[in-house]
Amino acid sequence: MTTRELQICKRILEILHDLDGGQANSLDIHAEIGGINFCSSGEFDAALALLDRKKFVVGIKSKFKGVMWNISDAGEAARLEMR
Amino acid sequence: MSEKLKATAAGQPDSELTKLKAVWRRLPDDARAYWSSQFASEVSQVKTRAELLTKFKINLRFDKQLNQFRSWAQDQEERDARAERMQENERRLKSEHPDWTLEEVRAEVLRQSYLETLATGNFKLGLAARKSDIAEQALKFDQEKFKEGLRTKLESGVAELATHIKSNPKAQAAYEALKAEVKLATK
Repeated sequence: MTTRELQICKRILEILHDLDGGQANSLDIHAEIGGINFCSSGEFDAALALLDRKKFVVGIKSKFKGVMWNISDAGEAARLEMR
Repeated sequence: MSEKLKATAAGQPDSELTKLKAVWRRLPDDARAYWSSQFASEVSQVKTRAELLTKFKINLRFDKQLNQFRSWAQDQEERDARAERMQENERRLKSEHPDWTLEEVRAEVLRQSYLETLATGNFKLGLAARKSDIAEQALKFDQEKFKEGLRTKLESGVAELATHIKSNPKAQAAYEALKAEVKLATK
């Protein structure tokens, strides 16, 4: 993982942690971490896919809201290590 | 960002509130609507807590726990509603502007979301929007400055050339044509 990827992943995990067990759509997460000015949609989607592959986040598909993401216990542990 | 404590330490069983949040995430929309109406109804908190215990085996012992959960559920509902609107905006923009790249669609969806959050008083996201606007303006300003610098250099280069070809009418004619091209290119 590059430093840049790590930075984006860390921000995503922080936002999901702040939801305190809640879920958020990927667009909402992208908006919360600073939007297009912080990272492009490609970078963001890649970072989210990476977190998903490592099982740090859990995505649940819904009919109208897209995929809703929440942080897993492994994600919480990773977030603390990334500090 | 302030550190939020987890309800339970790693390896320990989840708290009742955390269990309820996990159950809530998996509930279908109908069931969520039922429980939301229960929370807002005149049914006492004690009875609601007893119903939660019967149906989900989740024992909330105090009203405060239920209040915390209701506040959390309300936040989640707002996020769900925002997610629906953003998805819908993305779908609409993609169909209205098939020539737009994913990046352009995403930028517009986020911009609309920022404006909406500003209008509804979500200042955290509103602040992010302001920062985003400022960054965008700074970028435009830098681009203009760069363009201006480029124009000055090109024009002074052309003017310098003119001083060297004063005595050559053929070169003068070519110079006039070049000057016109440079003027057009740097406009």
